[in-house]
Amino acid sequence: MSSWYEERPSQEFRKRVEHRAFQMIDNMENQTTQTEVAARRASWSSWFQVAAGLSVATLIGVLLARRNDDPSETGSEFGHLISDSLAMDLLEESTQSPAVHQASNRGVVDLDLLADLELLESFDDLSEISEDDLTEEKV
Amino acid sequence: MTDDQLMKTLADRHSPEKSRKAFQALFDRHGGLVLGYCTRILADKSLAEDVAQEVWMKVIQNSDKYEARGQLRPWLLTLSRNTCFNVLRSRKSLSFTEDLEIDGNQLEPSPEISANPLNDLLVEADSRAVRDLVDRLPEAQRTALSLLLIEELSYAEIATAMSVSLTAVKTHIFRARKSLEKDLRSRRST
Repeated sequence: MSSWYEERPSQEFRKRVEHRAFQMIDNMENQTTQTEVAARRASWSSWFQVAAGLSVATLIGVLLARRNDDPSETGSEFGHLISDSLAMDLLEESTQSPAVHQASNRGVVDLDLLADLELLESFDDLSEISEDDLTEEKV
Repeated sequence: MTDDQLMKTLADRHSPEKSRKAFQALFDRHGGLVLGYCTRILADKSLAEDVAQEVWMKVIQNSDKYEARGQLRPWLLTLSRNTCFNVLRSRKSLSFTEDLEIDGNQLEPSPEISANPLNDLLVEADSRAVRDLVDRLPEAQRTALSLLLIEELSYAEIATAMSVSLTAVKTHIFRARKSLEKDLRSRRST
C-alpha cells in the first residue's frame, strides 16, 4: 500500500468483485455478439428487399413493354381507349369553345351550309314529282 | 502494460478472456485505492465494500468511454466519489451543512497546519491509526478532507462536488486538520 488512505482488499471481497465482474464481461460480450448478428441480419434483409423491389419493377416493365408491342393484348386496348377518350374530349372542348358560341350568337351564317340545305329541299321537291311530270313535254 | 492499455483491453468486447485478465490487473493496482477512498468517505467498511464493488462494475461498463490520457487514477476517484455520494443521497444522510460558525480570518491555513505538515504527519503516523482518526471525523469534514488529500481537488472543486459554499469547505477542512493534527501529535508524544 502506497498511501495511508488505501485499504487492502480482503480475499473474500476480491473474489466477490471478480465473480460479478466476470459475469458482466461475459454478458457484455454476449450482448455485443447478439447486436452484431442482428445488425448483420438487418443489413442482409434490407439488401434482399432492395433486390426484390428491383426485380419486381423490372418484371412489370418487361410485361408492359410486351403488351404494348402486341395490339391484341389488353394493355394495348387500354392504350387505345385512352387515346379515343382523349380525342373525344378534345373534340367536345373545341366545339364548346367560346369562339364557336360567340359566332352563333352573333348570327353569322354559314353560306355553304345554307346552300346545302336548299339543295336538300330541292331534292325533297323532286321526290314529290310524279311520273306525269316527267313527260317529255313538261321536262 | 499501462493503465490505459489495460482499460483498452477491458473495453474490447470480443475477447472476454483478455478482458478478465485486464480487470484482474487493474484491480491489483487500484483495488486498494478505490476501497480506501470509499471507506474514508463512508466511514463504514461493509458499506464501502459494496460501493467499491459497484464502482468496479461501472469501470467495466464505462471502459469504452474512458479516454486514454494516463488519467485513470482521477477517473477512478471521481467514479468512486460520485457512487459514494449517490449512496449517501439515497440514504438521505448526505448533509454537509453543519454548524459552521467560525471567524473567516481563521480559515486561512497557517504554516503550522498547511497541507504538507499534515501530510508529513499522515505519512509518518501508523496508517491504521490515521484511518481510524479520519473515519471518526464528522461526515462533512471527513469528506472535504478526503477530496482534498486523496482526490487532490481544489477548494472550489470540493465546494462544487459537495454542493456547499467555498467558505463552508474552508471551515470543514480547517476543523478537520486541527482535529487530526491535535490527535496525531498527542499520539506521537505518547
